[in-house]
Amino acid sequence: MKYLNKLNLVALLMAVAIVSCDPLEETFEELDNSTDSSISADLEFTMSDDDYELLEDVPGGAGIAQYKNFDNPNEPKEFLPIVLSMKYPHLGNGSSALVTYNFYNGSSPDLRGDYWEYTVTSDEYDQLGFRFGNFSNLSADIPKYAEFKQPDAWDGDYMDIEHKFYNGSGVETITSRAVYTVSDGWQYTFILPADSYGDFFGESGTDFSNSGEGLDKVPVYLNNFRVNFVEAGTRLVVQYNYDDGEDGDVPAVGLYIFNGTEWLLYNDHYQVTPDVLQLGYEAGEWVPDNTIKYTLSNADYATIGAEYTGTPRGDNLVSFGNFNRTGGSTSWSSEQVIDALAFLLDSGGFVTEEGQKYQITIVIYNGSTTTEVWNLIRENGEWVEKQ
Amino acid sequence: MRKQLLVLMTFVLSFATAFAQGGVVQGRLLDAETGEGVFGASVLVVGTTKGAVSDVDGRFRIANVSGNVTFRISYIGYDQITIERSVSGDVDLGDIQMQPNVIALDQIEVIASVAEERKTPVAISTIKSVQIVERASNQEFPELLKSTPGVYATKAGGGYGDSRINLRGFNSENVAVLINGVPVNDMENGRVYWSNWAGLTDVTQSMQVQRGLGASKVAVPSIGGTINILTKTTDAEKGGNVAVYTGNNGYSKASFALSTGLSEDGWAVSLSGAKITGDGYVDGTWFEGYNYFFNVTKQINDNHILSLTGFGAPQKHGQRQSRASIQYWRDAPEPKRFNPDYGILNGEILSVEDNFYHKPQFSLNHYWTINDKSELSTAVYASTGTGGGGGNLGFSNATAPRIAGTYSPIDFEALIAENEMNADGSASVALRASRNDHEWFGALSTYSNELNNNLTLLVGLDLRSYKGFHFREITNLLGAEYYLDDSDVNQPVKAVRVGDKYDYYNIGYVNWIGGFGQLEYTKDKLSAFASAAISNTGYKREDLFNYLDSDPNQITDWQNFLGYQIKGGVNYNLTANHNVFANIGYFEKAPIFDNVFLNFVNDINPDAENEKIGSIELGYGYRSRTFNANVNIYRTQWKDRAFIRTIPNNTGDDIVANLKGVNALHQGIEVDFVYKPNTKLNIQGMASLGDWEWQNDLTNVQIFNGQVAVGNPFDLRIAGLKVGDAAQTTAAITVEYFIVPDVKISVDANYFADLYANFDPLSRSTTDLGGATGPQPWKVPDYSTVDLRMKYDFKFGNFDATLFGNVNNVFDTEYIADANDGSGSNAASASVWYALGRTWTGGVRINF
Repeated sequence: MKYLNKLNLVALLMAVAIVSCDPLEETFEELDNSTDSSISADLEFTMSDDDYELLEDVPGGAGIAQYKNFDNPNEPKEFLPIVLSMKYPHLGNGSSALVTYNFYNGSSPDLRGDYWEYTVTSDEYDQLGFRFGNFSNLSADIPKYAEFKQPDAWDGDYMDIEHKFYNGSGVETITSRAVYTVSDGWQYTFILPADSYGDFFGESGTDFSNSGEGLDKVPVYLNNFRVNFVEAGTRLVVQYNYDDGEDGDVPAVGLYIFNGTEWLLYNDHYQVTPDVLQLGYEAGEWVPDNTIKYTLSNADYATIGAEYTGTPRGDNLVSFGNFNRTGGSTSWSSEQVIDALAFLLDSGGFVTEEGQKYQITIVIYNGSTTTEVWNLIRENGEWVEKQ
Repeated sequence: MRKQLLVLMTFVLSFATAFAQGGVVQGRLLDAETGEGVFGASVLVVGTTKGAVSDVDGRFRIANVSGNVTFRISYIGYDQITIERSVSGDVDLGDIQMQPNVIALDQIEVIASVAEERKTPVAISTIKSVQIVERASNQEFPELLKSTPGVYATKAGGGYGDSRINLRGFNSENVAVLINGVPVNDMENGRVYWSNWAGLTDVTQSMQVQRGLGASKVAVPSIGGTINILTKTTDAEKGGNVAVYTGNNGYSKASFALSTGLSEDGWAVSLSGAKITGDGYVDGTWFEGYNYFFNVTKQINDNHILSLTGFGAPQKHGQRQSRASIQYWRDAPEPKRFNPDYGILNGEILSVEDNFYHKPQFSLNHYWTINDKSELSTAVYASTGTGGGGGNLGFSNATAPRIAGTYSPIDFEALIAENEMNADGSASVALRASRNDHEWFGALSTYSNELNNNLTLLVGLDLRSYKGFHFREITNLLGAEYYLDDSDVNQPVKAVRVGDKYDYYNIGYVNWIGGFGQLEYTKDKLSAFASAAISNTGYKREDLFNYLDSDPNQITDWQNFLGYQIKGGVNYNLTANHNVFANIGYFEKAPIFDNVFLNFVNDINPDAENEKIGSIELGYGYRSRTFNANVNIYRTQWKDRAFIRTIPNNTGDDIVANLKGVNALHQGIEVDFVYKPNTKLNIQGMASLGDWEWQNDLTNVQIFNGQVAVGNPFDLRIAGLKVGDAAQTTAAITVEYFIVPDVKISVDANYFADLYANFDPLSRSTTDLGGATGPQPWKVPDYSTVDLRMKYDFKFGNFDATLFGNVNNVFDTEYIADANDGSGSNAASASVWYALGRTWTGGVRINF
């Protein structure tokens, strides 16, 4: 009897010792599995030549691999996820990537396409809103007219337009040239004055020795004569002549852009530009993502509190500096939280472009103080929760 | 000479028999007042190591005794008995009456509606002071009950006094707590703040859990059950004790108790006090607590006893309030101990979240034995509460600057630097306290009359008047000179300094008038009762910040709610071993204060509804010398649970909707037993299987403001969702083993399962009409814990002394006992606390 009791006691103690080993073990496994056992990281890198070449055998990717750039706004969204999963197969949910890549903005202009000649009629001045019956700002008015006449133009197209021009003192009739650029549409074309070849460039005739020389030297002229009062970003197509070896005075054009201090040739400086795309790893794949991760600051709570002051929930937020989410009478419903965050995002200093996403961390009280994460996206000019 | 020879002969003979074989001495210890067996009393043969402990029936048996011996019988709460006897052969000492050494225990038990086994038809578990003393350590009231069926108790964030208890799946708003018969649930919100009573376990004589409707005659919110705490009253015997304890993380406690005993002219005075300090197992949960108790009793004559009792337990302590994701804790260097809610200033701990409270309670009791048949027991009491909880102002603990990364204390120097940038000397960040002071007066009177041999009538009055003061004050300006507050319309630009009120200041008034009547019938094996109670709760709210002093709306009219309860039950003792009982009841309970006055202003909720609760319960009990067991099944239906949803209307104002028809059903089966196969071994166990669910959906609910529909119609899809926040399955086993009569070791093992994360059922509302039921809350992993205890009685000079030691969570198990459901209703989104790891205390107590 005595031994039996002792045995029972020992058995009992062993039993409880076994059941009390580690209750959270399975939960930890579950937590680990819920992120696919994968690693999450916030990447930030610039596409190298090797990175582009990863796309060589991907359908539609050969050109990208060859030219080391994307030439269509949809291409980065389509191909960068492929690059990421090839480069970083171990990364999983929660990862983000900020990738800098090259974007090809289109070929430089030339004069190999269709050519038109127009004379602006009185009706056309009226129709386009030129109520004095003339043009007065060539770089703005000429592209407008050209776009009106040839909206479907393409690379190499150009036209000459005979029109009335108010030169500041009187109206004269002149002919202006417009050249189509892939990057910037129709552009007024400045024709290099004939005397500049000799006077400024020191050439013997009225042309450059070859087209490349012209492209390179035109900025020198522009930097001398056309820098005052020019705004940064101004585009100008310049037509010059060159000697193609057979004939002299062959016309050619180049697109130049003023960067604030000097004129730069599009081909060298603007044809391929760096651009950035944010991507996130969600539900098993990389997807383009412009999400901005943001945690509400004390000032943000004050901003929201000020807006909702006088409501029970607003006063509660002012008092506690957090959102009451207990479900009680001073509690914020989900809709109300979204409204408040939308108000904040529209209050200035936040990106409000269509499609912009925010991942916002807020402090809440639901019996204890903790945080909630809200995902909002700008759609049709409003902030809505992104499910 | 002949005679002398005879004596000598007898002596020699008896000596001889003693050597040859001792006799067996047995007897039975009975409570002189109740006639019930006294369980657990020690019977020692003085001068030897022989002895026994009485069984559940009060019986004891000591083998191998002979000669002239002295038996010393002792048990806490009873006068010690000494019996001298010459033993030869087997001796039966028969029934030995043990006199309870307290005065007026009977009367207080009537006021407090203490239930009796095999008589009162309710499911009860009683913890006596001897069990409390053994665990005498950092175990608070709720945890003392953790091995009781239907109870789920946790240490919550782990701070001193921060424990919580749920009964049958209901939280403290629905668990009535009575101390000496005086209800102590907050008069406004119904909650129980155990920190008001931290440390009061020292002066507790017994603690009885009445599950379900309970035996309370007064109307109390006993949906889950009633916890009936009786403090010590007056010891009839002169004496006292001193004790010192030590424990983990600087735990230190010193206590004393003194009693004059009842003097010849009928006076008796008892005093006790203790100081408890420590650093807390969880970082930053320091504590400093005291408790005091006094009782002055005057036995005026045989018919009148007057007794003045006062007690209180002032304390202050650092808290851990922030729950966080499991991953957050898991990544912490010490998951069970880390606390994000405190910081360091000038090298010292400064808690953002702390709590301080003192709620002394005084009661003057008068017991009048009118005649043989009738008695009048009256308690007039007063209690004041002073204190509150600390917190942050202008910053959040989650984003506050920290000294050395995420898992380090808050950097108060950095917060002070933030204030220093304000050129006008104002505070951007500060520490504040939310105060919740109150004044409470009441009277409780019970008149009993034995109408005849079988029938007793009890009628009584329950009057309460309560005034609660709610305000915020600044406790630390963190280097600034003042905080600019614009909350007081009577003083819209106010520079608030330490101790000044800000943010809100309002007063809740509660007037309670209740009456009750009960008929008790006892005949032979049958006992039955039927009772009814009716109460009017009047609420009034005064708002000193949101209304101008000139505005008549600054104070509301009384809002009155009539509640009532009717219940009845029958107990039948089939045989001396078996009894069965049943009880049934229904009650309607006034809505809580915050559901009457909405939005924390004087907006009156015109549709505030009584909550309706129906309950039925069956029980069975078995008693024998070695084995006692109880089985009971219950079904509690909670109808029209108060739900308030606030939604903005078209003009941006909030419309409050009272959602009706949300019902919950709590049903289950509870088993507990005591098995005492021999004098050395004592096994207690219990199992409690609950099935607690939300019962029904609300569909296509449209909120109207007058005739105007507000917001989109929505569904509340909760049918079949589990009630969270308490483990639905619990089991416990306690094994106590006397290695020798003076040394006992005990093992407590507890098992908890089917614990679902706490969630707000309103979170399952959706405007997607006809959609699927909302997600089941996250199921917290099952866990079990093991505690060890040791007790050693010894002589210290002329004094009886006892050495205690105990270790809780012996295996340092990492588990979660408190969880709130998250957006994904899964482990990843839940916000939790880790429970405490291994803790220990040890101490010595000397009686004189």
